[in-house]
Amino acid sequence: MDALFHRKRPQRVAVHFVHRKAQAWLIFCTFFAAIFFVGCSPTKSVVVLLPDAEGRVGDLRVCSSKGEIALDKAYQSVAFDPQSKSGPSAFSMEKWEVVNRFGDALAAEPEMPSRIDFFTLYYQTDSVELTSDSSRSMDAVIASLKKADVLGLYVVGHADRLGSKRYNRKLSQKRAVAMKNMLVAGGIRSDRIRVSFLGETDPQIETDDEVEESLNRRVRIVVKRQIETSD
Amino acid sequence: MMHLKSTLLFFMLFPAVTVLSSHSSLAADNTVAKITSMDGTVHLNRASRENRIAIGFRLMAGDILETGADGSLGLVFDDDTRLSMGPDSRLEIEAFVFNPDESEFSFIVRLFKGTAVYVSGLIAKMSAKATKFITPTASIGIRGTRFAVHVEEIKS
Repeated sequence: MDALFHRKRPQRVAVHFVHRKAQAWLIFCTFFAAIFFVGCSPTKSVVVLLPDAEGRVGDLRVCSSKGEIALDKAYQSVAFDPQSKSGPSAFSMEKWEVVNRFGDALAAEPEMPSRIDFFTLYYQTDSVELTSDSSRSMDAVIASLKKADVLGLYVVGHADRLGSKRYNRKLSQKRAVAMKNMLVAGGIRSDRIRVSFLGETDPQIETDDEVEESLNRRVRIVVKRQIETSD
Repeated sequence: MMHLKSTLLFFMLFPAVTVLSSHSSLAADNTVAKITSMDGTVHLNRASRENRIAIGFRLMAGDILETGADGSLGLVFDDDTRLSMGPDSRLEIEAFVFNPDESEFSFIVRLFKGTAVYVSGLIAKMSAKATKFITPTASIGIRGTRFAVHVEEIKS
C-alpha cells in the first residue's frame, strides 16, 4: 500500500503530503483496527468431520495460529479457542452434541440427485506411462466409467516436484491428455471428458522442491454420477 | 440550444447505459450458486445493499448471507458443492471459480458466526489446494467430504 503511494506521487511534492499522509494513515489504521476487532471479537471455532450420505468419511486439515490438526474419522472434532492456553487437539463429538449444535443447519442441507467419486492412477517418473499396478486397474476403471449413471467426467493431471514448475505443468498436461486418449480408446466418448492439469501445485503428499514422490505423479478421474432413486 | 442539450444528455446517459448493461450481463454470467431452501429470516448483503431472495435465487462471489434467530438456508454451487446455514449465522462466498478447461479452480467460503454444514463438490475433488473454508480462528483445508463448523461467541 505504502509502496503504491510512493510510486504514484512525484517525489518533490511528497513533503506537502507528509501531514495529510499521516492523517490518512491514522484513518486507515483505525479502520483496519475496527475490522480486526470485528473479525477477532472473541469467538471459538468448532469443526466436526461427518460421514457423507453413503457413509464415507473424507479428511480435513484444520489450521490456526496455534497449530494444525488433521481429521480423518467420523465425528472427530477440533475446537480453536483463542483464549485457551494449550494448542488445539482432536476429540470425538457425541452424536447428541452434533444434533444440538448443527440440527438446523443439517435440516437445511440440500438433497442432491448426484454424487461424486473418483479414481487415482499413478505414473512412472517423468513419463506418461502408468505404473504397472495402475495399468492393471484401467480395465475396471473404464468399465465403471461406461456405466449409464455417469453425468460428468473430469480428468486432472499432476506431477511431483522433480524438475521445474513449467516443465511439470507440461508433464501433467501430457499425462491428462494421455489418460483421456486411453479412455477414448476404451470406448468413452471424447466430448464427455474435460481435461485439466495442475502441474506440481496440488500434491497428494506435500514435499520439498526437487523431491520425487510416486504418489504425486498421478491423474485423477473425477466422476459425477446420478443417484439411483429407489422408487 | 436544444440540439446541444440533447447531445449533452446523450453523452451523459451513454456511459450510464453501457455501465448498466455490462453490469447486468456480468451479473448473469457471474452467478455461482443457487438457493435450494430457506426458512425464517434470511438476508443477502450484496454490494452493501439488502436484497430480496427466494428459493432458486442465484448467488455471486462476494455475497454475504445472514440468517436470523429463526433462519436457515441451503445452497448448491455450480460444481455441486453443498452448503447449509443454521440460525444466527453470517457467511461470505469469498471466491468461486470452476473452469476445468482452463485448469482454474477456487472455492473460498468464510463463516463469521453461527453454524454451517459443507459437502464437497467437484472443486474439492479436483483441486484440494483451491478449496478453503475460513473462520475467525481457523482455516480448513478440504480433501473431502462432509463437515460441520460452529463459530460461537465466547461467553465471559
